[in-house]
Amino acid sequence: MAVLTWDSLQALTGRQELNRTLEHDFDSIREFIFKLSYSLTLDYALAEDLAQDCLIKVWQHQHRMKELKSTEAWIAKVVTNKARNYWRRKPRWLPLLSSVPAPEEQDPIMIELRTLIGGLKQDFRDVVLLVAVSGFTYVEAAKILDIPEGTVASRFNAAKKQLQSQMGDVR
Amino acid sequence: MKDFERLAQYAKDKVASTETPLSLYNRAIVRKNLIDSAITVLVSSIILALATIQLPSQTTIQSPAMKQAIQQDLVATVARP
Repeated sequence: MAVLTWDSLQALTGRQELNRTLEHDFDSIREFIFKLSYSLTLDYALAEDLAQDCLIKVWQHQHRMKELKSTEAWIAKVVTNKARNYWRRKPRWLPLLSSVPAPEEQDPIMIELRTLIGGLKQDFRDVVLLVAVSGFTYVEAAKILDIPEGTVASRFNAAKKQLQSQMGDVR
Repeated sequence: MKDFERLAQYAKDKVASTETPLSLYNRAIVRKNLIDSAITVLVSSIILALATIQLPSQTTIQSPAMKQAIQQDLVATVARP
């Protein structure tokens, strides 16, 4: 079993040099990445995979942390970009994954929300997940997605309307 | 819209109350190992299969009918004055 620890990351990436910021804040960064991964996938097992993928990427690009004004915004960008792939590729991997034991998401409300949000196009889904589920402000979401704040607001409102009509159709 | 907001708030609370696992089970690595094992088995089987095929030491490309036709042709050539 692959374990997400400081040592395992070192072993996995083969990097010996240490970034003091990453080492010092490793636990809080790990928690931030996992919780954001869970918010952006709405699936516990996928969040575990995504969190580890992202931690490896953050580790491999740790030198960039010195140049960045906001490490958190950069990490959020990494997680958001990688989360898109997880929404796209989940169905393809399902048959293979069934043979791999993992604590799949069992919560019916999370599954319902995931199904609803899964029906949105990617641009809308990104904004809904970042603003409504992850709790970022429009300004923060705009920075993460590299789009104007106004675009975030308009996409969020349009997505809410679509979700409203979807829910109206279902209920 | 109340319903979606309620669902989103539920998800937000659930994420906040979920503890970050100390050990993450990385299915990506497990999956890669499974695929690697399957490829190893496949390649091994192909090598074994190739190794066990016994080719005759003097292979012939002629079918029996072709062989007979050639023999008849030879006999006819020899018998020709």
